Amino acid sequence: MNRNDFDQDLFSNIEISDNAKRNLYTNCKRGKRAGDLRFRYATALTALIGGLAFGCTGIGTFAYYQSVQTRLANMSSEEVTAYAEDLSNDHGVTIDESYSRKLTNEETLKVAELEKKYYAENEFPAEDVKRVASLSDWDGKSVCYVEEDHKLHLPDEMTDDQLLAFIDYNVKKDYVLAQENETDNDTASPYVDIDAENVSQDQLEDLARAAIKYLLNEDVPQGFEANFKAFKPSAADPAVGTAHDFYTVEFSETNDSSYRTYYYACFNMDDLSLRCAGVDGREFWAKLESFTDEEAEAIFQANKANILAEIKDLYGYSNPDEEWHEVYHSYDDYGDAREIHYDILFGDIEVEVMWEVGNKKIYSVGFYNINDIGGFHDEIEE
Amino acid sequence: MNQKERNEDLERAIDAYSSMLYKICFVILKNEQDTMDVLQETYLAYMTKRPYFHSEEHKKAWLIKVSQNKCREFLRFHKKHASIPLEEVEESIGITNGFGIEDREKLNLIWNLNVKLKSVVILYYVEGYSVKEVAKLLNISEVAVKKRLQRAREILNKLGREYDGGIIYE
Repeated sequence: MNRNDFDQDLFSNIEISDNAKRNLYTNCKRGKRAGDLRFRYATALTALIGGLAFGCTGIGTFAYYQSVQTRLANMSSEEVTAYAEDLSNDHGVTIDESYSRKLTNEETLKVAELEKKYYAENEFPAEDVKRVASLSDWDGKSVCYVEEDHKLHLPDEMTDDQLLAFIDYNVKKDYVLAQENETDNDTASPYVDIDAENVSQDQLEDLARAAIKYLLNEDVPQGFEANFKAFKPSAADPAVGTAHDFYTVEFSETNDSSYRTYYYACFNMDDLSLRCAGVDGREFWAKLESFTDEEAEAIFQANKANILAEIKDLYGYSNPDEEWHEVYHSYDDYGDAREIHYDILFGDIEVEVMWEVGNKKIYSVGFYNINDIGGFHDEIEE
Repeated sequence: MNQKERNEDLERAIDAYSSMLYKICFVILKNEQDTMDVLQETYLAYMTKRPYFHSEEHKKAWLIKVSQNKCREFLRFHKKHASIPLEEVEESIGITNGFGIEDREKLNLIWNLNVKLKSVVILYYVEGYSVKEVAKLLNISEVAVKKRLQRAREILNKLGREYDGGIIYE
């Protein structure tokens, strides 16, 4: 096999843009995870693997959560091996490549509902997903992993218990993957136990609720429970400095659904000053009005003065030194603009705003000292 | 390393390796924004976990390995939506700018290889890693790497035969 016999020019245009490099640099220095930037990257793995980093409100909820953890940790070695094998054979990018068919809309909604029961009430399936060697061994009525084509085969209609088996299969597979990756990475987590820090969860929750209400002029809805994270890379390596250390309080109906709407507020660890606050999530995004890029840009330009006035009114910042913005899309919807990502520099403080085009409203805001996190959209040297 | 040095180190690591990681992850994930999410997670791990590297090659290999793991995680979670067809990505970021029709079709063939084969193809052919190194990066045996390379060559040979020069030159 000679690597010179491959037409490498086919990859020549796949290049990261300078702007993307700059964003990567700035966001890393802010300690932002992909899930903090957009809602695409589910946080379920973090929740599963880093249970201690998450607080759970209420002893009952914690017990149910622990029960899921125990269920996962108690998988037999044969079961773990089987899931690891499935993972190594799991090469599909889209749902079509991994399951015999897509879930219907009704099934998707049912899965979302049952997922909540799985985590919050420990409603587990009576039976596991079946495994057979070849497709001819499948009865067509059960949820079944077929080793021949490495796909999960779904019957035309699924009972609640079969949907729970489908959920359970995926949760276990994700758990095994997370375990494998943790072992591979073999480095310390930047998340720490919040109980070890000099602040109570009640205090953080009160601060977060107040910050969200102040920004959005609305309360966190009933039924949304608080979860807490303490991101502290300086614990593992003091040389990192404390500028990246912060608490996150997130309110959602369930931790584990990647479709959930969530309200959040982050506070710097050193003085509990507000780092960011807002609302996000796929469900939230889905409710926003869609515009073309040109329409969104025009509406933004017509309202820019109002946004700046609102920032001054809410947080006291005025007379910007520099500013930058982009029309913001969801992950696979080019031309489907719903928000404007607007960064404004006031002296040493960079204010980052997500402004919703349809309602003409600021839905999230962040504050960063450029002396700590670097310059305003720093140039990456080529 | 103080804060300033760490920022400079991060900047150097992004400058030196983000293009390579972008290429590898993009071909696997078939989606620009998912690729950027994976890179964000990879570099955040680089910045916050501070692994010790005994050489620049070690650093590069670590970044590739972590990004591959992140791609796997990502693919697990993102089977919820269909990926963007190549034609749409072409329009949005111009990865086939300057390409003729045949080259576009060739790229599409590689684009549609399964992920296991693509990872091996890009690490071996484009990034120039040896079979042994690819095996280490992907946590699979050397035999598995060879099998995947062979399988990819067979597919690309067969499908690329109708194009001038093919994809794999004979």
